[in-house]
Amino acid sequence: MKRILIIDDSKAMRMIVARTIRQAGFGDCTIVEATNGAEGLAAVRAQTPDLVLCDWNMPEMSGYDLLEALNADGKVPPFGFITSEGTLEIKVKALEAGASFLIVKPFTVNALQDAVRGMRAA
Amino acid sequence: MSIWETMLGLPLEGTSDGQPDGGPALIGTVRITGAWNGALDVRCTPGLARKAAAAMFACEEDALSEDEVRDSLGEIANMAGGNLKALLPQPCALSIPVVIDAADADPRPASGVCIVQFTCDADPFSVQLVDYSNEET
Repeated sequence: MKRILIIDDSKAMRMIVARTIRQAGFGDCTIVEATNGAEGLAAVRAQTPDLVLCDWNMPEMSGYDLLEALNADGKVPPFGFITSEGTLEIKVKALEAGASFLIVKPFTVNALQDAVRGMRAA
Repeated sequence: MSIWETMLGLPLEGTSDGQPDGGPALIGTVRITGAWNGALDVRCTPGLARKAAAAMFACEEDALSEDEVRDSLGEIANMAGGNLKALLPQPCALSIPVVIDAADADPRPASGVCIVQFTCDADPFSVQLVDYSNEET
């Protein structure tokens, strides 16, 4: 894992996700940040990351709309949601759109570690 | 409250006197609309909001800007609202969080309100659930 794109409109949450990535043992990765789906889409198109960790509910473009846009591009990088949206409906929608996992906030280091390792093993 | 403990690592105790009435307070709020209509407010003193933000950013309290403090409280409300939404009748939609000064807040209706009160290191803190199901919003 070399380049991780964190997309969240909350600066505090981007900070927490970045810190948790380091604590989960991926400290050698380069972290790139975007503040909404539209910025995230531009970042992915500019340089495809090795992993996208994305919020669901954001202004301008939601995480789901971003994932749909990447599907339309025909090139979806490994993609996981980290969101407070934890309903079954949202989880199914996320996985059907091509996300590898959905982690519900608040989350632990182990939750992120397991999700990323599970994705790499798949 | 697992958000407080998991994300912030701050001590939290339930109390019957957690509403920071009288003094200045900040309110982080999210609206939930759909099969259930209402709002979830997280209300605390500016000092506690700064303490929580310092825990989220892992820095000293005085290193934080006002925007960072508000961003952190908004995210706490967002997490609480998202967890609540999962327990409600579906479909429901969660708004983007907004943070306001309590002095600027519209008075909440007297009915359909549930308040859970806490203290964190003696600072009052409350989570308020407002049910708009039977009201014009």
